[in-house]
Amino acid sequence: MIAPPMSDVDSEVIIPAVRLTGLSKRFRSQVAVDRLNIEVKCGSIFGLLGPNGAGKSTTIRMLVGLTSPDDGEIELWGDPIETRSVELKQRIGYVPELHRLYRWMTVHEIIRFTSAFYPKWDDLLCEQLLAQFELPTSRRVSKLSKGMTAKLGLLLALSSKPDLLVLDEPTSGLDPIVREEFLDGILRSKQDHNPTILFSSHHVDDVSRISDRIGIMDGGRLILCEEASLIQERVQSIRGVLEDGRLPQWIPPQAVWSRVNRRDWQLTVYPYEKRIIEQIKANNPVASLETESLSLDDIFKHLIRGRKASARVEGQ
Amino acid sequence: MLRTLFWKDCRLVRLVLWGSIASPILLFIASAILVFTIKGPLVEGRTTIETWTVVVIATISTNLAVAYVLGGYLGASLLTLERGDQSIEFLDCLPPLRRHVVGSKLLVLLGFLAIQLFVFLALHSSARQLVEFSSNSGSTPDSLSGLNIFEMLLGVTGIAWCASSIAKAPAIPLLLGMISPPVMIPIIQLSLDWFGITVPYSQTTDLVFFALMVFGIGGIALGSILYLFQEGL
Repeated sequence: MIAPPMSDVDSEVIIPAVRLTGLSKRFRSQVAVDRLNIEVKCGSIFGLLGPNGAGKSTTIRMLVGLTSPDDGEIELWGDPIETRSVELKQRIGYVPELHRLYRWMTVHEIIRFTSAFYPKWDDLLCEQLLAQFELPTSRRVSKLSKGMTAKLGLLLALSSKPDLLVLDEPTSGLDPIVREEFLDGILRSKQDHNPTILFSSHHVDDVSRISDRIGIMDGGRLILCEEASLIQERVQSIRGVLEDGRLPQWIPPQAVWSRVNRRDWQLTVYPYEKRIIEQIKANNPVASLETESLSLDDIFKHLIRGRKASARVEGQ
Repeated sequence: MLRTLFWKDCRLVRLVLWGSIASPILLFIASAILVFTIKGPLVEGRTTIETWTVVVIATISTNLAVAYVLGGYLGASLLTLERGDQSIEFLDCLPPLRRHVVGSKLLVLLGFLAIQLFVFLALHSSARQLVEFSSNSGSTPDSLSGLNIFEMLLGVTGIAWCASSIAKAPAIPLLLGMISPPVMIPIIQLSLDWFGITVPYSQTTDLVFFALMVFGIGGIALGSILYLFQEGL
């Protein structure tokens, strides 16, 4: 399989690096991933946000072949994945949250072991990352700290120069300094050979820092998917002051979260359109209305809380 | 690719492999020390060459017992050790396919069997030379042939391998591998009685070892297929 060219023009029009269509996975009665559709353009960074149990890890495990979907299709560079060839696996780098490296190997041994499987392995980059991450080559993996193990996992994935780098909550449980070094490593590889990156996390800061496009998952479904630069335009918070003793009469269907505190009414809408303000004014006893932008952190919280609230209402 | 996996698998079970090389030497030394220091009825009235014959035959017997345990452990652990510490997940994300992973482990298994066969044949031929040299027909090392040894070890490792393809730890596969030869004898006897087949006693041993080998090969084939096609490791 030959990678499609990755020039700026091509990456806009050519088939995506990753396409998940109607992907589903169920563990007994628990639905982990529910008819999920995601597209990741070649050379872009897709940040997948979601609370614990949202289905991010299951999605990624299906993508890298650690588990098989019950339904749906995975396409990599336009080809449906039925069987995984050596050549295909050589193009994918995977960094999990929990690194299951060979604990009895030394850092040097695991690098030598891993490098033997990748024809594009970059020794120079590997040396540079070893120095940057300050990894002791003679130490056994079992003796490395959590942060060092995470950095070693990233080093192994980056040095193979993958066309697709898949990171599953790689910064989870790491201290801020290691997280910073970790993200720098990812950005460096992006500059170096422009891989497509799928990055899952529940650290909103990390995702917002590096992603071109952001998806938010909950309950196994993608509930938001937007360009990172547009997300704050597309999701808006509307604050209103209600007339004395009155409650909202009409909530727009685009509202993903709503809260009334005495006369103060706050609601978050997605996708936001200007006419929604007029509709709210026309249908509700509001004295004033104004819109404000939300941080990605707030967008994430409002979306998740809103869904939980609706699930509670539906449950009643 | 296979060479790198083979190196990794040898490192994974290096204690077993070192044990299979070191055990005949250590057992030979231990047997020699025991035989020459105790000087019991076993060596009473024997010449030095005859005493060395006793040492070699004792080494063959004890090494056989060690190889039996090591073979069972190797068959039980090659697939389960990586599953136990979940490092198989790391390997599963690397480019090698499952068939490469299984192929490399089978090579290690065959390597172990080859070492054991070589050790047995070396000791066995030494014992025969010593017997011929001393012209004493009292102690002969002909109770088991090299083929029998190979068949038995293949049986033990193969059955342990089959059980380990679905197990998470080596304990139960090891147990199954170890008990398979003694269980096989009554099963074969009952089967022969059931079908009314009469086999001379002298051929029963060969039949048991042959059956063990068949079960061993079947176990390796079935275990490999189960490993290749199961979801998640």
